[in-house]
Amino acid sequence: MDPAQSIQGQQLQQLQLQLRQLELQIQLHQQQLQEAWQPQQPKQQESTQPEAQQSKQQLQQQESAQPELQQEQPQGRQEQSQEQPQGRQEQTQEQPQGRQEQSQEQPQGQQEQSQEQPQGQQKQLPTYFTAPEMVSTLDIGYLQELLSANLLAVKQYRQATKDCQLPDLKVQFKEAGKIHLQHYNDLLSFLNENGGAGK
Amino acid sequence: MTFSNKIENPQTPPPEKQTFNDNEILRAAIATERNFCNSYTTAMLGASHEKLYKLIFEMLKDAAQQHRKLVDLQFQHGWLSLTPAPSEEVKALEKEFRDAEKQLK
Repeated sequence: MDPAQSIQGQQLQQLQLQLRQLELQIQLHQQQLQEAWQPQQPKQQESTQPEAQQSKQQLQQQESAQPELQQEQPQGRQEQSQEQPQGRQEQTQEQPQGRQEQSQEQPQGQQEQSQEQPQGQQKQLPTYFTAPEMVSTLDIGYLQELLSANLLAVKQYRQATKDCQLPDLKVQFKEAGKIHLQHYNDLLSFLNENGGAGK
Repeated sequence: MTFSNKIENPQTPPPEKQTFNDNEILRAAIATERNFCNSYTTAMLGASHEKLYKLIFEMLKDAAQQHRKLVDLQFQHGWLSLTPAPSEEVKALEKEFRDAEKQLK
């Protein structure tokens, strides 16, 4: 069983090395984020999620390949939890140096973004810079009022066109009736485009 | 004594002449456009997003233009009279706010 144990030991060491690399990369990325302008974050997180899942899956695959490793997994996790606070202390200490490291290690920076998600420290809801197109509950009330008013106005102008005798008034009432009919149709088509049930 | 559920006032006998004349029709139309301008303004300011805002804003412009044309018709037919303000009042008003303009400097 000695060769098997030695193999397990080697794999353990590999896993520990990978963990440390991940943590270093996370530190660097967080420093970058602190200096970077914040609205860039959501895009980075979106683009890096699949890669982060891949790295997780790789770890799980390696660990599941050897069921005997299960006894030693808890140690790995303890190391994680022990090393995280150290990592944060180093962050605060090394902030002035961080800029130099960034300039030297920019090619790695793109890879580092992929390992941010597993810690799950920065979860953000999507940010709306403008209101999305929809019909809100308030809009329903306004649209109902406008539609009924336009319907009434079209009928009123048709009746007025019939009733009045002066020709210039007739022309003007006809035009006004057309305009309000157009408004009525515009409002209906707006409802149709934003969640209506069609014609 | 029996109580009825209806709550109503005594009926006013309808006036002799029931039809609108042209002047009254025009006044009713102007009142309609004025109400439209108010409704459109309220809906526009309460609109949830920009597309609806722009849609209602265009309608508001149409309604306001119609209102202007109807008022012009009213004026052309002599159903609307305008009284110029006395020039002293105009001068007094201008002087008051010329003086107040110094607050802005």
